[in-house]
Amino acid sequence: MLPAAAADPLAQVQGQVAQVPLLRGEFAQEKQVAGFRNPLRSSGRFLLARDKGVVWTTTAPFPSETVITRDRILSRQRDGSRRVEVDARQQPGLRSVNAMMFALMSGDMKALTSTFEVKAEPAAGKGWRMTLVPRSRQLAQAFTSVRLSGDRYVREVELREANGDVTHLRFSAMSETPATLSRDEATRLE
Amino acid sequence: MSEPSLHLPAAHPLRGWRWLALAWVLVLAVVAWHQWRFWHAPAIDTDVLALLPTEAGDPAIADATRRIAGNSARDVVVMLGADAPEAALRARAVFEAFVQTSAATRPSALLVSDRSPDDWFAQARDFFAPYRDRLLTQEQREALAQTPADALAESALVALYGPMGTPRLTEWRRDPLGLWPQWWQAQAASSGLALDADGLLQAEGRHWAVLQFTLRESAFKLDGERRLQDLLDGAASAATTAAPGLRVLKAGVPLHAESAAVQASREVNTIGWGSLAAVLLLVWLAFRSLRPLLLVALSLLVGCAVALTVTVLVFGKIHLLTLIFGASLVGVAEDYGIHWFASRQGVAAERRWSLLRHLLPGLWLALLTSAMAYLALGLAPFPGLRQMALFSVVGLTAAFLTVILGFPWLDGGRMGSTAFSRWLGGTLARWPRLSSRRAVGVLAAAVLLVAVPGLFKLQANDDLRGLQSSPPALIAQQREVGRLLGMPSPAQFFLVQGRDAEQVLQREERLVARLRQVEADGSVGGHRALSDWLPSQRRQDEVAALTSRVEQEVLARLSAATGEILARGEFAGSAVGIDAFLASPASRPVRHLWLGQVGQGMASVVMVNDLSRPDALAIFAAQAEGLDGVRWVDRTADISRLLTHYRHMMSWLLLAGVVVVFLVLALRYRGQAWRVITPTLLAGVLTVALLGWLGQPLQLFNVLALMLLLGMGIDYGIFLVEHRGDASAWLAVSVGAASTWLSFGLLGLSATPALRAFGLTLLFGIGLVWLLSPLFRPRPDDSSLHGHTSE
Repeated sequence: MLPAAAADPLAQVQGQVAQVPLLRGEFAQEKQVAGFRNPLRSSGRFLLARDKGVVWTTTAPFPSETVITRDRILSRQRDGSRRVEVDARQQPGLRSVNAMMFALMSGDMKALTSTFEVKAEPAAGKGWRMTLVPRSRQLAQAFTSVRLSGDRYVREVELREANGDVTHLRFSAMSETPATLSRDEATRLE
Repeated sequence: MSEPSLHLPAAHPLRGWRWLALAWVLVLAVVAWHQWRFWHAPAIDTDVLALLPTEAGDPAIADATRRIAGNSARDVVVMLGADAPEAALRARAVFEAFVQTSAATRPSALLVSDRSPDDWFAQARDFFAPYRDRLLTQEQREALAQTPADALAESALVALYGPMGTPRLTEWRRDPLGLWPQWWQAQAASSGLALDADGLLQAEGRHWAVLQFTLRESAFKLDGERRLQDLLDGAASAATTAAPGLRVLKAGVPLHAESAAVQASREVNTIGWGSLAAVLLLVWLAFRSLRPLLLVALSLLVGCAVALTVTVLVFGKIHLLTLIFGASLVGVAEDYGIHWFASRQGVAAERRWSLLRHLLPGLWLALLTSAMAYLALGLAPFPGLRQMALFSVVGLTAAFLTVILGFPWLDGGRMGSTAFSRWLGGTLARWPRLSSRRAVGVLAAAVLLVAVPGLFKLQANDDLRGLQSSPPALIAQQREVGRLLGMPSPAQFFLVQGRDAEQVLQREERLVARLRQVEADGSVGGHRALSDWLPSQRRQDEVAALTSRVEQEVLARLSAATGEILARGEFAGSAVGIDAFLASPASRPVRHLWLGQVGQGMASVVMVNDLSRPDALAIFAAQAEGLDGVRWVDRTADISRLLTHYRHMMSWLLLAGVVVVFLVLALRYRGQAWRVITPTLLAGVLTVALLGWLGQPLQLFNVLALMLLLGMGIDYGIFLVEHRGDASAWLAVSVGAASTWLSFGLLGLSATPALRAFGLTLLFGIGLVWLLSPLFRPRPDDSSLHGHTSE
């Protein structure tokens, strides 16, 4: 690590993470949920449009899609039916959850530090690693901690919920091109 | 001047007078002691609602109204709106710091910050968690009953495998369908708790910080100082400096109370001291001597002090409007003292006892008619009017007693006439008298010309707003805060009654189901009902059965899909009851809606918001129809109806009063009684006509003022007939009328519409009676009636 960066590890991370308008990639998720003996594994693709939202397309074990925009979380099921999971316009309290998802996926340190206490940890090689603890009591009722690690991109996320559930995410095959949304992608994010 | 026939030795007091006077001095000593104690911590009421009648024969509505009013009586809400959330947060911090700092630098804090505890949600969630399976919104109930278990299982699976997504608020197996967050979301939306993580509200393009304070009653003095508003203004300007472009909205009953107190204190000063100064100036002009000045002032002081003491003893406290109204009493109560001194002019000091005996019948009659008029004010079941009536009658009587019991002892000196008094007394001789047919014809024509068109123009208006006097800016802010926060109206609500809590909750549920329909089509705004938080036992049992069936079906399917053995979580075996709910922190947002024991049964209120649509009231009223135990209460309309009812009733009483007064007068004056009463009747009719000409609506308070006019106007006629051709009687009437006229004229300056109407009516009425009375006076040599002769 550079000496200057050691003084402010956050600035170092922020400097490292690519701030791109559009990011595509693949994910593998493992959830440990109370009541289940085995972790729930799923995988698929994701699309992050910095100003619009995230499209989370699960392909295995069965196809489904979740779209997270500034105002709501929407899911599309196998039969094509859509369901609004959360409407932040009706419950502004959930905006913070949305905003957090955004910030996590895109490594937006500025947004994250306003809602979380950030502790950077030394990491091997060129990468970085950090632990986030919610500042607000409201968010703490949902999450106890979030651990992130990565290099130019966020590579791994570990989310610990207050009820004991743990979600582990691994991102791969990140690509910054094409740099514009296709028409189909844009409609999903409407 | 007056040279009454004397039957008693000149310098001899009346029998027993010494003892009566002594007794009166003792009474005054007690009053003085009470006054001294009262002003240390004055119990002064400013709530306009306290003036209004409580629903006679309906304790439930009275109770509900009192609870609703009392519930918010000490709350102050401040909203700080900024374009950016950071600016709103900064403004909030500065505002709170300012309020706290000012509390630290003063002996006692005026406001206490009243945030709902940060962990309220955690506490409420913990309380409800064992009953999670019994709590569903209406939409959830319908969805669960109608959606096939396969589809529900599918959604549950998507949520399980999807991204971290929605926070669940509890363990997955205790809520596999994710019903719990939606239920809380619905509660938050309906109770105005929809604030984001920073505690900001987003509305109308701004981010609002909502600050709640509770007034520390002990530090709040309604002494006419703007302490609370100065504190808030200071905090607001500090916050605006920190966040330019900030919008500040303030609301709360204490703001109105303080504003009323400030206004009342200003009005008591202008009206009370103004009329006192005017009275004393007139006394000075008429008598040019310090003794009358001091003694008349003494009678007024005694009158006001005794009135205040008795009112406080009877009612427990005194209303500000009573004080303002009482200030005009000065103009009436001074009549007795002035009468004494007008008659004393040129009468030797030794003759004063016989003078008293000579004056007593007229004074008694004048007191009696005035007191009757004031007492008539108290016939309407308005606590405020009763207070004013009691205050006035006691004040008049005390001033009267001070004059008749005190003045003969205290006024032992010489009392010469002055140039002014001779001139004013002398004007009577030059005043025309209605002696010819032509004069009568001219007067009749003039009266008809003014009265008939004026009466046709007259319109009645019994709006409750006649009682309110808050500054429009304050009312506008109150309204805006109410709209932004979705605060329910305190004057319109549903009252739900039943024999026990369960029945009340079941009836509420039937009402709420109807309300949801009209809310869904956008006709009206939302509602707040306790049963939305705590459903009836029957509803809870139904929902528990529904969720148990559906969740077990879903879990069976999920078990098959995932190869896991999934078990449903444990829940409480029986419904949550009203007592446990009310005792827990969870009930905080709705606790005030539960009235508990009312009469034989239990009761609650369902409050509504957004009455902006003109037909909203009718729509709400229609929702209560045909529902057992549910009533729509519209206090505004009820009170307006009451005001109309009492305007009619008092108008009839006024007519009856005219008849009674005429009969009393006829007993003493026989065929001359018409001379006493006609000027007052004409003045009354002309006053009402003038109101019509001026476009002033006729309301209860005009009628009440006419009642007073009857009581006071008669006095002038009495004095003029009683002491016929007597310049000193005319002097007393003129000085008395002028000061009464000034007092009520100043009342016409009041910002309270009701008092203004009162003042205006008497301003016209008294002036007219004074002008008209001499026209009807009998000839000095007319001996067709018994009574007292003059020179």
